[in-house]
Amino acid sequence: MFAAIILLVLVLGTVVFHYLSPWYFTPIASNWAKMDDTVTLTFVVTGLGFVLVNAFIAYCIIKFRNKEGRRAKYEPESIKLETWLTGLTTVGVAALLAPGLVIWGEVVTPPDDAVEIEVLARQWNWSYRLPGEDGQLGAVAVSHTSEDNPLGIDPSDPFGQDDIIVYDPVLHLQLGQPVTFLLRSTDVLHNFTVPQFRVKMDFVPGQVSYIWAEPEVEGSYDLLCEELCGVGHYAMRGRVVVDNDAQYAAWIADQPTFADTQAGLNTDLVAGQASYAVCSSCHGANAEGNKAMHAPRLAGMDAEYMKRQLRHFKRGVRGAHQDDTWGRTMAPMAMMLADGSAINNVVAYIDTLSGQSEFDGDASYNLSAAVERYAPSASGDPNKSAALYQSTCAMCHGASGEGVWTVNAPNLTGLDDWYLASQIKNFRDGVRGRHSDDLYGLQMGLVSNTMTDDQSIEDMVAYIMTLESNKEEPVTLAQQR
Amino acid sequence: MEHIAHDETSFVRPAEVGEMELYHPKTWLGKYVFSQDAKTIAIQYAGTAIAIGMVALVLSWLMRLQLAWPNTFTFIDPAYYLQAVTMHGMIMVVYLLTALFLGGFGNYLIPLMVGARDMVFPWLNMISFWVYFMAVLLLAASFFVGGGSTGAGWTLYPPQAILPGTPGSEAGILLMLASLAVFIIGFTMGGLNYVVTILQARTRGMTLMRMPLTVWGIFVATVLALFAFPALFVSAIMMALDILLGTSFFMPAIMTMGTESEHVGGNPLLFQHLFWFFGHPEVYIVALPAFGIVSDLISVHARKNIFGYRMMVWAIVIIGALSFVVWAHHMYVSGMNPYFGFFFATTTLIIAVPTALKVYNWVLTLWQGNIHLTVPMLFSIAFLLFFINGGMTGLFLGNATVSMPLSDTLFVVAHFHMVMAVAPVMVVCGAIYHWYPKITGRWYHEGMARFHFWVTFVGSYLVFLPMHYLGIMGVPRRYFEITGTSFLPDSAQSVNASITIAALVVGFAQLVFIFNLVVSSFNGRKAPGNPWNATTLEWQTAHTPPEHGNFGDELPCVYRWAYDYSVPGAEDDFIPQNVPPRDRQAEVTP
Amino acid sequence: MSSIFTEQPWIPDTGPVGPALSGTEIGLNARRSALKVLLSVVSIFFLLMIVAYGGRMLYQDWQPTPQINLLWANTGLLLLSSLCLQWALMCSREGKMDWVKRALVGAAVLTVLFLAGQLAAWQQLISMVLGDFSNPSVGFFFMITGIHGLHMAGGMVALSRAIKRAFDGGDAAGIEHSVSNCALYWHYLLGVWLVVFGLLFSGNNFEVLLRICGFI
Repeated sequence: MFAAIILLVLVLGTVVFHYLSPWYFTPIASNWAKMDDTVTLTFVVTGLGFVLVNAFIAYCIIKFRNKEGRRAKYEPESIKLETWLTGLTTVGVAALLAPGLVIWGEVVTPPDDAVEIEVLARQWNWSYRLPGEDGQLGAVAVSHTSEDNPLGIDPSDPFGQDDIIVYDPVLHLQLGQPVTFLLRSTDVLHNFTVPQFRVKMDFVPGQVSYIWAEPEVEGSYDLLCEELCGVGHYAMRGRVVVDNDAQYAAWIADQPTFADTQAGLNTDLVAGQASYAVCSSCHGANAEGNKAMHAPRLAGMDAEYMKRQLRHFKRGVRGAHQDDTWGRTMAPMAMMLADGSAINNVVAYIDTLSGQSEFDGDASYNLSAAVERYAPSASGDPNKSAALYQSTCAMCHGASGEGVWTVNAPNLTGLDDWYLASQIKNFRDGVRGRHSDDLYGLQMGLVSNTMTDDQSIEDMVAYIMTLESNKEEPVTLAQQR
Repeated sequence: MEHIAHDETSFVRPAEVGEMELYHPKTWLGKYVFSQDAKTIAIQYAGTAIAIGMVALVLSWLMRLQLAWPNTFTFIDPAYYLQAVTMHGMIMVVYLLTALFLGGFGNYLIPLMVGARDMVFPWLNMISFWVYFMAVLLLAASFFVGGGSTGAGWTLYPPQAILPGTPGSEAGILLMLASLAVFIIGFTMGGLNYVVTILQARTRGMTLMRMPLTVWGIFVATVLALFAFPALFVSAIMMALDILLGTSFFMPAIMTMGTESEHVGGNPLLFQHLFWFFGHPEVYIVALPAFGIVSDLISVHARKNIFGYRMMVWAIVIIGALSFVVWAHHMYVSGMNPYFGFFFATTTLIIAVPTALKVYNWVLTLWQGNIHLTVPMLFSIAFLLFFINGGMTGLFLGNATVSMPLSDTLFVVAHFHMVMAVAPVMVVCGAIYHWYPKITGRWYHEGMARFHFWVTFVGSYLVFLPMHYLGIMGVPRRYFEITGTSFLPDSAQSVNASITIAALVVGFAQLVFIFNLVVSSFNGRKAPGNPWNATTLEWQTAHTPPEHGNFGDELPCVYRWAYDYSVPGAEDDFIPQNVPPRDRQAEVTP
Repeated sequence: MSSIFTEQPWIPDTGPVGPALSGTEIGLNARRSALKVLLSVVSIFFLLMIVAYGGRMLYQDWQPTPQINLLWANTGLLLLSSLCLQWALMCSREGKMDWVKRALVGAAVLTVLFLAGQLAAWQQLISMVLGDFSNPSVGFFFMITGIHGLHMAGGMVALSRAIKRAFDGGDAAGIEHSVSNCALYWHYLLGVWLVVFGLLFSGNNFEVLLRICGFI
């Protein structure tokens, strides 16, 4: 009896839980409502079967429990009953399968009016490419991929020149416009999932897979990788923003073409120097930084990283949080850089700076020596954080902190210890990297969550400092290249 | 052999089968360590499998701790988490369940149930265990090498598995591949033994259709394993060559960590096809023995013949055969040609029909039975609940369209734990309690067994039912943590915490289980030879536990099927298989 | 076996029970069935590799392995050793033990030569591709020939036991059994080799493969 009651409680509890718990699909934002309908249909049919069969079991346990003098009925088989049950099940299964197959037919055939957007997934970030005016995407190859051409577009292919490059994890889509996502990876398997769109598909390196959807609700949605792709898998986040026509037009006009990005490689150092004049008041004439002003050393900082941060400051993606005092100081400064090419120029100029302190007359003063000025925090124990650095941080920032460009992870060597510590804390505490457009910031925030107390951050910074001093050759500065 | 059963000449008294060459151990080492007795080998298999399974259980606790209270246990970093996920999955599926059902139950039950003195190749059987043992050692070694064990997920998908960026891509993955290859070699030796013993060494009168369903389940599962493991073996070799020689089976031209690799032209999907060509039958390698065993448990403890024996046999065979043509339902969103989805969705849902029929027949066996709610019966009923639940969610995931929003989420994790982890484990527990008196000659402690049952039963359900809903909400699997999304409510985290608490309690109950098994084998009550009044041959042995050679001087002769319970007109409510029909009894008894 | 479909297992024996097989008979039957089961497992193994190879061929960037003419000679050696074993089997049935011994040794020598030839072919290929294994067809070549060679080497264990048995002068039935098992194994591996060599390594038989698979 007890067993039967518990069984019934579990079964009825399942049904009650299903209907009463708040946990179900997130509201749909695409054309795939019929996919949700098939799920509902399957819930109804299987739920009915589940309850009936289990209720029957409970009934049997109560009714046919062993009692004095009871003897079971001897009945080897009943072909008739078994055939009936098989037939009934077949009908039920067919009822589930048929709509599934019909809708699957729609899933695999994108409509004629769908536009194509290429999504490039790579450990552990997203970028996008839209066909330009010619309506066609240019050829790509892994062998063309480099820091200057991160999407690997064939420079000799005329179709590629006008391709629109979105080298950022945020993609905008036009409301009501069906899109076929062409999925390309250059390293491992990834997966394109926007939970509100319902459809998802894997990326497979060496081929292009596809999936299509029509965004039907304006809004901003998380893009997740749902195929295990390494240590950073859970932090591989992107964002899809569904815009109305006007917003979309504004966004697309702002995105560079491939030709633009290549032209942007030619920088004007004179203009950069002029812009830097403002910066130097805090960051120092040689970009050596100033701890008193909380201005980090910029010499030796990753160029691509600086450009991205300047763009973020400019757009209010960074330096907008009310607790980010120093970020808020920096944001208006970045506003003074008029456009992308101004940012490129000033970063190119910073790259030429020595990082040498003005007050230090010694000409042989190199970067390693510069870092020695900041003794690792007195309380930081590098041995405590070595394992975490090598298992986790090194996956993006490199085993010796050199930075890895495909991961968009800047080098950590050559940075001030106080600056590293303050930024890790900012990431962890949500002061930095929580803006919805700052997906790399979110990534770093998720990873820095593993350092729960300040002491572990001190330990980590101490370890990063040893990476610097252990290095045999001096840090490669632009001026030494 | 087929002429044996229904011959038309006169009825003869069983004559002794000529003594098979039995190995007679002379030393302690030969008797207990390098034993060639299938029963000892079975216990060695089971002991090793459960021991490594405990490691996997602990790994699951670590995973659950991180998911419930992210970053509280700071030694669990993302890499460590992935390693725990991978090793937990691989150990549980291959090294625990496969080895336990086929190596453990297969070795113990096949010879006894078909009436043979031992496996047909006892020496090969002994080697098979030690090769398996070596595979377990290799696997365990990967915890201790530089870089740690592999964290590529139990599916080991390349290119990720062998690239930096994945934990254990240095030595861990190679040890894993080597361990799998060794396991497969060992299994093939054992599998040949099981299949040939069933085909060639059945005692007189034991036609195929008189075999207990346990033997049928193990037999078909072994055949599946023999045919499915080569796919894993091939892919392990290919991946190892990709690592060691720089071939390009699975590795296309890629750029990893900012540098271009030397590979060119490999196909990662090829691995997935090979893997799932193994991986899907693997599900049934675990499930079919469970189906078979649970049929017998239900029949014995409901004192009723299994309903529709012939359909049950054919359902096992059909499920086994179909399991080879459904593999790509694991790959609906893998980037393979999506048109394959039509075929594989159809074949997958067809499998639901024979599977459902098995469920009906189990339930109809309870109907008008005489149900004894013993511990094995309780576990059988628990199996039914979990299997029906997991089977139903299988209808979601097998149907390409329905599966799309759910694939790669915790819904999948919950589904396969229900159907191929908890459900078979229920059968394992039930079966261990059922045969414990025969194997040890003593009773388990009833109170501890019931405590173990109720905690495991209710607890496991509380672990895996809510997990489905996390998946429906969109929580991806293999995520170290899920903060930072805009669509998951904070309550998702509390669901995770409650799951973890339930999982820890269930895990604790397993310690009670093992304690009970060990302690009762020394000071449990003495058990009679056939405590459940069962009909199959293993309960009819002269000694309990059965001695070497199983059946004493004379092999039993089989006159009837294994399900003569509550036969009308019979005195007892069971008639053992080796009892001749009443009108023949005078001729048989000398 | 036919009764398996019609048997109503719940009906107890009304008829008699026939005599049992002896332990020796069970042992011999078991060996034969074990070999058959093993060969079907090996078939799946090679089939998977061939399917993988064929599937890879369909891609546009496919470059076949360079031709190695030595393989033709190796094929001949394997064919001869298989014939030798067939001859040994026929002689053992007629009880001509002297000829059985000669044929068995002949088969063993030819097999060793075959394996040596395969190794030589490997060396040729390694020097042809300059140690670069990144072309998938080269990888497949080494893997498939290597695994086939390992199977032949494994067979040599059984063959050498059969030779030992023949020279020790054991019972004729037992010798016939092991010779016939060896012969079956050799014929089978010859068949595998002919399929593998014929389809994959004897030239670019892509079209033939497509035709077999029903694509053309």
